[in-house]
Amino acid sequence: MSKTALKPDIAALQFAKLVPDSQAASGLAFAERASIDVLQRTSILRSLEEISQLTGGYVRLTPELSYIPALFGNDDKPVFLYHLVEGIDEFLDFNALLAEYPTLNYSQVVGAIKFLRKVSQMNARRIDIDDEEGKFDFDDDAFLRELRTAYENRGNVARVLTDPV
Amino acid sequence: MCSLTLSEAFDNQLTHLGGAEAPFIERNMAERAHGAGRNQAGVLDSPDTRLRRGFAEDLRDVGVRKERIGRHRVYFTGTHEDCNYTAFFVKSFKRGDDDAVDDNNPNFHAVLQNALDTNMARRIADPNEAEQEEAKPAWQKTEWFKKYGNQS
Repeated sequence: MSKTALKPDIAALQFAKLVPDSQAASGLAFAERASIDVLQRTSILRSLEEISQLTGGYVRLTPELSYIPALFGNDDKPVFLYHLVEGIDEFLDFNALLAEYPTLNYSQVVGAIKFLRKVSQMNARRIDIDDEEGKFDFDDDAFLRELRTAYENRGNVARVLTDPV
Repeated sequence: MCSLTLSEAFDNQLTHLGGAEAPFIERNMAERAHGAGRNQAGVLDSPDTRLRRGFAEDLRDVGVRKERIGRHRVYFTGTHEDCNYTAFFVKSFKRGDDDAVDDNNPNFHAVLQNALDTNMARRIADPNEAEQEEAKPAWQKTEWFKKYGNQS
């Protein structure tokens, strides 16, 4: 076996240190599953890293941020790629895009953007970024109060939209 | 084609939001609803709209969900089987907001960075290595290779 072919396994073993001790202690079966999972993640993140290099290195995957794709501004602070995808979603002209691809529908394009957003959130530690967002909101008492009040008053209807806008 | 109901509170929020954002949010929520049918799930029924475990369990239990429209978050109820969705709250993105879930908000940014931080020491590059580095093939320039490639 060539030296190169061994590299993913070495990377995977080292990477496995990121598996929490509490879970690693639960037996070999878990370790095997974790090992396969780590290998798959390693492979995907390695591909993303190569794509980054091929496309000029603007999108960077750094160990300090668990290899989540990000751009770095002139203040050297990261702007996460998934935030940029959200911005693209906001400024995209859906009608113009659908005119170019008449066999697709609105839901498919939205689904594609959602897919790109989630791919942009991939990271080595398998942190669910949307969970982190939820935790951030969870601590905001004023926001939760407002949300609950709005839910309770949802029966007060302003408008019903039945036709395409 | 399913319908979208806008609650008074949601409609008021859109009115106060104004600008290009209000029609953008309204149009996109409506399109998402219209894309669903009584026998066909739509974008608003996809699993990623479910509230995460641990977040406002009471609202989660009664079927409140959240959809991302660009950088905005719309809270709604309803399914394609009802063939009506009710939007009742929007958490709009505003640059500079303390509660914006965006990179421009240092509070949220810190939460995210802490979650992702592996506490790995930063490598300090040797300026003399720059020329050798440039000559390497692309796959040897990856962070993965730098970290693991030389240890076999």
